Amino acid sequence: MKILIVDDKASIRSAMKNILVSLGLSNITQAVDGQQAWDTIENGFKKDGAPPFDLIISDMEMPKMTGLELLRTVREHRSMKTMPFIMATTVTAKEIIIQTMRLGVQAYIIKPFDGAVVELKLRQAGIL
Amino acid sequence: MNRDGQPQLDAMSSEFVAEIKDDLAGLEPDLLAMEEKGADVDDDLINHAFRAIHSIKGGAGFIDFKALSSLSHAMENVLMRVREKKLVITSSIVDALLSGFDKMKLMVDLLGTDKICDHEKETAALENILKIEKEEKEDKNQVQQVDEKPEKALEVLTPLGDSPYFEGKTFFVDKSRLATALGSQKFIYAVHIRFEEDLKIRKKEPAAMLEDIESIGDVLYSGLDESPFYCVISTILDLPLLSQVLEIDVSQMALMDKQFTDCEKILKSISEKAVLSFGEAGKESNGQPLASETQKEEEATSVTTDLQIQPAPSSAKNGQNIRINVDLISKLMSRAGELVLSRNQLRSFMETEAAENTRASHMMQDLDMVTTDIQEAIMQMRMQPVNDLLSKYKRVVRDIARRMGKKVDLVLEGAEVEVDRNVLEKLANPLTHLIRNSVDHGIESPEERQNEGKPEIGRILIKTAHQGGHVHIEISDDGAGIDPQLILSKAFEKGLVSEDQVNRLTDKQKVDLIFMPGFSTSQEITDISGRGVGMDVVKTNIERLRGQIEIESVMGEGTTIQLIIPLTLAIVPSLIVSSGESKFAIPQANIKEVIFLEPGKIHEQVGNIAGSEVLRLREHLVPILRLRNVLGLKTYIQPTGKTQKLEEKRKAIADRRQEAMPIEKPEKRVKRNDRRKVKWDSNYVILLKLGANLFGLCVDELHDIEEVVVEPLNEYIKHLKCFAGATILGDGDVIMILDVPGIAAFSSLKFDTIKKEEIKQNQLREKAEENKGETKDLIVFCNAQKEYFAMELKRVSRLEPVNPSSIHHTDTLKYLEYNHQAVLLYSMEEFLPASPCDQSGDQVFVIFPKNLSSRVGIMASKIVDTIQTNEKISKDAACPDSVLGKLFVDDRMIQVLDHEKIILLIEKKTNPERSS
Amino acid sequence: MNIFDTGNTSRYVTFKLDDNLVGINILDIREIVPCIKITPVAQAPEFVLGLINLRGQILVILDIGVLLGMEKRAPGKESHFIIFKHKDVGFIVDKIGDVISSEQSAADVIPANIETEIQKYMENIIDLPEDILMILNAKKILSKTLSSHKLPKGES
Repeated sequence: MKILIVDDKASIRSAMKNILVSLGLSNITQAVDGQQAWDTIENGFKKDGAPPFDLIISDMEMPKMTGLELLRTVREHRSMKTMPFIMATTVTAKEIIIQTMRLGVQAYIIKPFDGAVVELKLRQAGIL
Repeated sequence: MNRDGQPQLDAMSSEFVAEIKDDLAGLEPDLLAMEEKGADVDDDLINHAFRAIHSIKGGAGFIDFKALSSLSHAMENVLMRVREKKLVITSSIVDALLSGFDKMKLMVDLLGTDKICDHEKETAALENILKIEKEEKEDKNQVQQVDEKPEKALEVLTPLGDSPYFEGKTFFVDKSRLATALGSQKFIYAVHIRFEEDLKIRKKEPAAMLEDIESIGDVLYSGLDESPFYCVISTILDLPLLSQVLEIDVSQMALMDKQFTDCEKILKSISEKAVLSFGEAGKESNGQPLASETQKEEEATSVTTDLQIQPAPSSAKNGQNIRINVDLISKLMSRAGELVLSRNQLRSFMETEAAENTRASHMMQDLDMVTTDIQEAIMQMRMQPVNDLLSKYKRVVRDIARRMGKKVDLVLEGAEVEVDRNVLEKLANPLTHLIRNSVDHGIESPEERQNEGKPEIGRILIKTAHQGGHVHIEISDDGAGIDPQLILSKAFEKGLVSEDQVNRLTDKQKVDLIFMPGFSTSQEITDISGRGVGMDVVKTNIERLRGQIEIESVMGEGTTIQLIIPLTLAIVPSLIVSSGESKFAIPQANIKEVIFLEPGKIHEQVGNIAGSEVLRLREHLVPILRLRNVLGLKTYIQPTGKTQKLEEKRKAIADRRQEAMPIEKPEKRVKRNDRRKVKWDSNYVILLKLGANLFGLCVDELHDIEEVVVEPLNEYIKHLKCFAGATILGDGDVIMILDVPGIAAFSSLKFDTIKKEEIKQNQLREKAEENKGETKDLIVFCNAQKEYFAMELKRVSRLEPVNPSSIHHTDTLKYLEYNHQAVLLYSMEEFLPASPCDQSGDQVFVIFPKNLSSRVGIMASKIVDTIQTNEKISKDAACPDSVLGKLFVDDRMIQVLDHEKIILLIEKKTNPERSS
Repeated sequence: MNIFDTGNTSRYVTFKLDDNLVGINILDIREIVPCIKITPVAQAPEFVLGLINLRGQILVILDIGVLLGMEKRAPGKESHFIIFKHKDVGFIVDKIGDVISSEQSAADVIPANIETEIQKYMENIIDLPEDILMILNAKKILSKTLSSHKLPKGES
């Protein structure tokens, strides 16, 4: 299980990472914005075309490329149409929630989160 | 849980707080820029501001800071409408945002204190913006009825919780669709929708509502024909998000039973922790601080991950910066200071003890270089661009200008110049005052400016530049300028100038009068400037930084104020020492070395020359001063068994005998575990550089090296030669900074006398060492009985015992037949005042000196001994020319012969013609 | 307008120096602070008690009792520092008293038998029902002490 955490805040990345590690998920890569995340994904494709990650947990509001744009870009790729994608964000605009739902986000984690919430959401996203 | 919406801070929180502070810092310039651009504002700017506020909200949630969280939510809502282009930025909107920003900043600043602040006013102002916007929006969509028929195989669901909206209500839903929803771990909610409040007021049709619902989940049940109508939906969204999408309050929604295990509890905590839905911002509910507890556990978890991308901290624009605590830098700085001192000590040791060792001296050079680099780099770390301070004035200028109905542009030039952060901090107050003055008194109202033919918008320019170790800051405005006549009459009125001065002063001098204490030009005390403190305070503050201030003004054209501030001069790394009960700072730049005087060896190390104490340091003599004597400090000793303290009367260190009374510390100010602080009766000599000379200052204790900010001395003590200034230590104590050249001058150190003595002593030592090198072997012989003479053994080729009967005597000469040759013999009485050689014994000896014909010998009655001596052979007035001097060995007086001269005498006697 | 500056009435902060009741015009005072740690300054004139750290600012504290010919005082339980408005200077008093208002005309003439040394710093004398209040002039204290203080011993 390879996981990509995308957030522009170091504190939130490390909080999320710690929770995932405590849940036994330790193969974690981090990115500071959507652009860096996408670069990481794009450069990480395996030879058989399989995506480099099994789960993306992304913040919504980030410089360069937002979580929504990252989700859209990911979904445009043939191999990642249904790849688990969790949005970790605060309460955000209605239109954005609807758009992400249409793009098939698997779960929402509302900040602030804790271990129990993340565990629940990972189950919801079919990870656990 | 803190009722005031204040978080409990723990170690983990500080990172969040730091991030919140960063975001706040970036927010203000964005808001100001947005106002400037108004309707033309670009997306990047709004997005940047939006992200900042969004992050603040997120961070606030994590540390359970409800007040900040709800205020940031209100701000985010406004910015969101701006981002959606549904709201055009106006100054009043920016006002509301800025006051919200101010309050957030205050909240964060008050963190950790027990002070709290409310934010109702700010939140209300922000909400009001949205309310107005909503009212303006007119939508005339008709309400439509939509039919939905229930499915066949049904299951009964009951809403959880005790919401009055669902009292006694149950729902029938399609069994298979419910199973699918539960299988995919979705949440099942019942939603209560009120026709009037939720739909009509929002001009929303039930169909549109249903469309919203379908976009985020499955509708398991809907009763659109009822009013109020209910829906049952399955979705992955949490309650707050659902509330956001449907624009319905969370209290009108409920989770259903048959939900998978423990999700209810978790979701409850989510909805309570998260900021509530649209239109509900500001209201708060109580919850448990779940996050902080789990975070603590997480901290304890050891983490092993394969990080592929190094995280760049969010605050860094270029990914090259990390956040460092200022205290840490200060600590590093003081440690670097100690490193430099140790390096200096090592270096001087090397110079004397290991100068020959090339390997060691190479290593020394490396250490030298690295240490210097470290020191410079750390100094660099403390440098901060002036912009960090100046950019804050954009807001100051904006606010004052707005309040006064003026239009002012603040232009910054060269703000990237860096100065020490300490200097920058101390510049903040005077600069604020000067800039406020410019807006308040300088720039005219737009009408006045138009009448004067000036552009409506006034301009304040702050130019910053480096120039030879100083930073020049120029604040100029194109305002009304200062009327010298007005200043003069005010000054006269206040009795600051005399009548005859009035006529003599130039315009420039008249303007300079505003720096006089007690002068304030403002006619009345306004909120903006002239609060009783005027330019005199600005001047004092600038002078405190060792800076200068100049003012130039042209009536009708504007005023320019120039500040010249040293970049770092005000901060001096210093060694803190104490003498008696007082602490002092010695600038590290003056210190060469620190020497510990061992109590038992003071006599060996310290001497006295011409009334001055000197320290013997390797081959140097260094004058030393005792700080307590120089400053006339009283020190106290406490004799054993007595409780009364006695004043220490002994003046010189050399007076301190080993058996001196034990001296006790008056207080337990020294911590035992600190190895650098030793007992009070130990003495350290701080070796100080003074041009080419060195002198030592004797102190009792050494403390840390600290970066001290030099405060100039008040007029009352300015004349004291021994002090360069005063400073406030980290613990708040005020201490004096010693002035090294001042102390030397004050104590009239006699470097010359001591230098002469040093040279003399060195020469003597060299001579002594010369003599020491030539240990002499002497052969001691008798001429007459008990008259002893000596010759250097190495000058003697051989010794022969002979029978006195084999010596032939002529009138004046003695011959010995030796190896079939006639050998001419001489005895001492022939050259020196001595008794005749005693030939009465069985044997006499013939000494054959080197460098002489083998047919000449010296007769001796007896060979006494050969002795070894390195003693200096001293000559006195009674010594004949041919004697080097006298030696006293075992009660015998031995005359040591000057070999060269004896040879000469012998030769003269042997060949009188040749030598004459 | 300054609220203290109305009419002819002056207000004085009073304090004790030994047994003397002394006052100083409230307009010349920045603030009054309880005694805090004071750092003596070696070689300073006798009337300079030392330096204090008042909220990050270094101030000189004088012992004006010495100017008036009293013994040097040490900070006591009730001692306070009165800080002058100008020059970053304050002075120590043994005890703070009331603020007393007085019509300017009510001021009595300085009795001729007061020592000239003290007269140098005095403004006037107010006869209170139970005591005599000696009013000092802040400006005189500041200017006289600054101009008259001697160079330290050992200076050559």
